[in-house]
Amino acid sequence: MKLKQISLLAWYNILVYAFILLPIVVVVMTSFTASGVNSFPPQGLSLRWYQAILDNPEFIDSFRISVTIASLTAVVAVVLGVLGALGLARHWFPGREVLSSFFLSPLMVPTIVIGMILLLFYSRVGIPKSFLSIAIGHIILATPYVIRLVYTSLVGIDRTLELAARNLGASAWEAFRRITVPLIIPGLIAGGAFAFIISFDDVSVAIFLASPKTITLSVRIFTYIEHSSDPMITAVNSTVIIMAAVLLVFIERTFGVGKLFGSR
Amino acid sequence: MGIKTPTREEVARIEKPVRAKGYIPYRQLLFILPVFTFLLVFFVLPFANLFFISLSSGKTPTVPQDLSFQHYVKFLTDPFYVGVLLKTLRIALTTTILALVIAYPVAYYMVRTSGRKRAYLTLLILGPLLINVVSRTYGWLLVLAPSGVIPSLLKTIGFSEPPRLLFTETATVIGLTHVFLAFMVLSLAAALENIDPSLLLAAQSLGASKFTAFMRVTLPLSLPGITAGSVIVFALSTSAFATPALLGGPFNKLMSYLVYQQTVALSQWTFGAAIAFILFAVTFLSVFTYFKFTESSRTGVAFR
Repeated sequence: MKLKQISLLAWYNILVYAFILLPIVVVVMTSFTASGVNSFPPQGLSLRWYQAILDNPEFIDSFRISVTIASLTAVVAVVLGVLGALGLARHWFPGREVLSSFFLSPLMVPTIVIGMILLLFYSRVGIPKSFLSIAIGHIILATPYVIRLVYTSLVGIDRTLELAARNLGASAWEAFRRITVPLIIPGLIAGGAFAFIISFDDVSVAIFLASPKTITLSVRIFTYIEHSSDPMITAVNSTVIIMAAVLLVFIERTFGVGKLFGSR
Repeated sequence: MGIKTPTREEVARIEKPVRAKGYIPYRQLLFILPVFTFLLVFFVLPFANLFFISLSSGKTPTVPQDLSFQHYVKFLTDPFYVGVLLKTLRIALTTTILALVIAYPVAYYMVRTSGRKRAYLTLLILGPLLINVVSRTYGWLLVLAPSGVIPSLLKTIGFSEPPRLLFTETATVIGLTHVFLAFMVLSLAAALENIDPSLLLAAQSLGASKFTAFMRVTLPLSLPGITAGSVIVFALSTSAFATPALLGGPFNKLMSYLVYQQTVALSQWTFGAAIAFILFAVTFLSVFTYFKFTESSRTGVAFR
């Protein structure tokens, strides 16, 4: 495509996409600098700062903690969410609209408020800080999204398919198991992936519920950056970015990132 | 993959739930019990607890004591705290407007592409959302720092003393716009996509220039997307925690950080609770007015 053929609109879009990618590219490239300070463009190329991460095992611990909590969140959010979506999808019942609004209500509450209410609640009731307590907060954040994803999946199914199966002799349960379930699995997986990401990337809830043994990766990076900035933390952030990129490719290959966020 | 995810209109059309007279699907209701109880115990209860603790007059009780509005009065009568609230709203508003202006041509362009190109653009817009917000914000820390990319660029252009960018309101706005741009683009794109292209053709055949057709057909019809996106970005910006905390610096602390500071750093749990509730009220108000506003129209409700 010749340069002259690119319209003004296209040029503008190129600029915006460059804006979007700018901080991400800067972080990744700076992480490879051989010098002792953050420099962009990187002065010399080296992996020393990635190796430096190994000298700070607390980051690797936090990574493990984040992954554990995120996995727990994903599993529970999907179970709750699928059941919730199934409970809303088929038949009408009095109070259905109110109930669905109720299920989506956590979306309207600021995340730090959710962290705050749990902190106060846990100390009042006497629940100690643990992986589970943080996971509960994340489950609250994620479940509405899972419900929405699975629900959209459910309404997209041609209802006559199940009716046809029933007609051919299948029981209600069989029809559900063999027709409906396979069709909602994409929505289910998308929901699980989304829940995992929400949990892994969360700062606001995790920072309220943090204790020395339960510092998630985002919280650790956050508190580190609050008072210092060096190539080592740049390498840590770069690793996070690269992992997200890998996840992105995986999600795109399996069901498309657009669907994850609700567009077609 | 077999599933075509429907548009909002299609959802409204297809999913008229089966409504048999007087029939209450008890077995179906069983399914919602887990979510319901979970939210009740870990969301509603703690929330009510927050409210009552904010009405406590002590400093760090775990059980609400004598009820008084003193914390709310303290917040609303202290110019410093009110200033923080106003600054939060101001930054959120600026971010929303900036995001809208930047995102519109992006959504417009995206909607007019299709296939592979569209897929790549979607990937570019949505991909960054998977990245931890702290890491994305750190990128801006590097870019806006005095030794960073943008000041260096400004130096080469001719500014011998580039203006300080980091730890300012501007930095926060830039960071927040970057983080929430995708939501605005998505919202606008969804609205723009639903505009019947023959309407534009009709306008043009009736003599309108491309510009007029845009201003009088496309823009008004994309209004639902504009309002939806704006509400989302505004609400998210008001409640944002990590980005303003890192980019704003010590002199630009917003409501979210205030809650954290009062509660965790200063152990003023009851006052922190009041601030949290005020923050919630402000955010909720904007979202609620939007929902009420659009309930009359058919678009914009997930379950109907």
